[in-house]
Amino acid sequence: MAEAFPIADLVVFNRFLKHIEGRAKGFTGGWEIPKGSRTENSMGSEDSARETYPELISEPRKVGWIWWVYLFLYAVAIPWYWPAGYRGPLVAGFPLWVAVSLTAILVLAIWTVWVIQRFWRGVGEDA
Amino acid sequence: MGTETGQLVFGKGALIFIGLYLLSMIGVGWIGRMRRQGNSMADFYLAGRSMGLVVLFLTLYATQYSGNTLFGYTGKTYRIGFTWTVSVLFMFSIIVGYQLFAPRLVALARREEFITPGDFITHRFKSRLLTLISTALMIYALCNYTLAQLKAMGAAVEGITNGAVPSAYGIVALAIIMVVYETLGGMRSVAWTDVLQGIVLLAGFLILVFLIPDLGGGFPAVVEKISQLDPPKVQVPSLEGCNTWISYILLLGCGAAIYPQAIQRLYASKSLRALKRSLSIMAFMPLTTTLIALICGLTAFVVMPGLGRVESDQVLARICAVIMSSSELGYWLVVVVFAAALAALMSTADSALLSISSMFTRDIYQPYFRPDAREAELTLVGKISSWGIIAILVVVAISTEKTLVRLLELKFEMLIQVVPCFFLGLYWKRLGAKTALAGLLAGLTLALILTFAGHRMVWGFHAGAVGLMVNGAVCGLGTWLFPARDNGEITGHNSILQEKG
Repeated sequence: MAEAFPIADLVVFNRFLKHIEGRAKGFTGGWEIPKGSRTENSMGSEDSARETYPELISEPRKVGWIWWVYLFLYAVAIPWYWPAGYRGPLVAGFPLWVAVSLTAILVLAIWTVWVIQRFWRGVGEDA
Repeated sequence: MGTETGQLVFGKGALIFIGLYLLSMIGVGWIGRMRRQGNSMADFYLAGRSMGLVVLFLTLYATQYSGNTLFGYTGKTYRIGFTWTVSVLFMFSIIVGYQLFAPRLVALARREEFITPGDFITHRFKSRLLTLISTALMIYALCNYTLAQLKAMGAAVEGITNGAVPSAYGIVALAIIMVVYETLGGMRSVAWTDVLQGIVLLAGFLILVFLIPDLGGGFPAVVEKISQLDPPKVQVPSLEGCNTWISYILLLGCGAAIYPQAIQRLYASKSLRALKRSLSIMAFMPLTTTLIALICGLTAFVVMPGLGRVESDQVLARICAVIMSSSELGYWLVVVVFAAALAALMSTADSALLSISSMFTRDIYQPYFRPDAREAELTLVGKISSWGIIAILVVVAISTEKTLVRLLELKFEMLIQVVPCFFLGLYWKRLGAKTALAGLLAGLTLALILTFAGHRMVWGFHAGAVGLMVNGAVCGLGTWLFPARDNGEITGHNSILQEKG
């Protein structure tokens, strides 16, 4: 039988990642050279992202819940939860577990298009 | 035509058609040359940053779906069955990978006028050593990638001419055609030939999905037959098998997203709108391309069971031979499929070759040999280096033997170690050059040790993916314990200034 998916571990791991990332970003030390310079180091923190990337209005990576949806859809697409040796009935010629994975991939693709169009936005991109 | 032996052999008419198709590539390359806007590196290597939706989508598609998709993936499906459904998921994951770094990279590339991925690493980390090692890894991976395409081209030519044209001659001839049109117009020529090749590739897959399943009595009948012949091929993978799925998603989702030729296509987009639309369409392509390769591989298992590992990588050619012998229409449809196979191979190889040439010129020749070189000189060096690189690769391709998928894995084990430089470098301000370099070397060393010690997989994870996890952990811990300081010591900023001073 498939083991239970370790959601609790994922939550702890996510907190750890956020902690590390929190320490890694937000640093606006003196290696920033005046804006517009060719040699400016423009790796912005979350707070200064708009300042260091004036071309970007928003980006998917900064919207946390998008990635929880991705995690859920990937968890459906990867067939870890079926009993060992399972095939199941055929759906459009595919074994059930394959049909479920392919459906999840289709939903992932639709989700991705929406995320790209809605959350990856730049200044003047419609121009 | 003769197909009795299961070999794909073309008649004179089909060979003339394929020959004209290949020569048309040079014609398209010449048109690309006529449309050039100048002699700058941006014009030669990024088509003047002018790619619109159609060209951008088709060049991304033709570049991303290689000979591996047609030959390697059908062969792998033949060997492991439905477990290779992971190929649909990992090819999709490349688009997810882009979302983790492309928005910032594209914005930065526009502002700072990047040409190569190395330009970003130099700009971000100010470390020549990190740029050099990253570039060397990317060049190695692309050389391996190109090598696989060249070998497949040789095998294909030898097959359709029934051995009249040996593999080596086929490799040399197709390599010359590629390098000629690439030298003529750079990225513009490569992208426009990709448009032609992308259309042929789409047509080829469309034909395959209509022709192949019928050979086994329809797809449901094929699956029922496999269930009787070899049940594990239709059963759900084990938990360790699911780890391998996750490993493939990591390898491809991260590794293929930072392919230098893919990153340069992000740089070359005309607008953010065109790029977003191209990537949106690309998100669905695994369901129309990789899935078809999966169906072909499964049908082949029923139609011609009992093939060994190396033979199974040629299973698509063998099954096409069966279709060819069935009718005149089948014969000509297979000719189009073969043209699609050549398109997949050439479009991937030419893009990789152009990218290698750009990285050699911009990230190695210019900083180390001619810092003050003019753009025209650099472009010329890029063209000459293309001929030198392809000559070396052709010699290696003619003298070595390996299966396609293994080559793909070896390449990713190396390339994937550069991922944190992009995925973390764009977002972690305190990630310094020395930490990134330590992570890269730790991940690379571990991946190589595991590979050469014969542990290609650890609990279902590829050696490269294990290396990437260690690489990421070193970057995380290093950034926590030794955050980059404002004196530039850790970022390497001072060392560059001192070298210049």
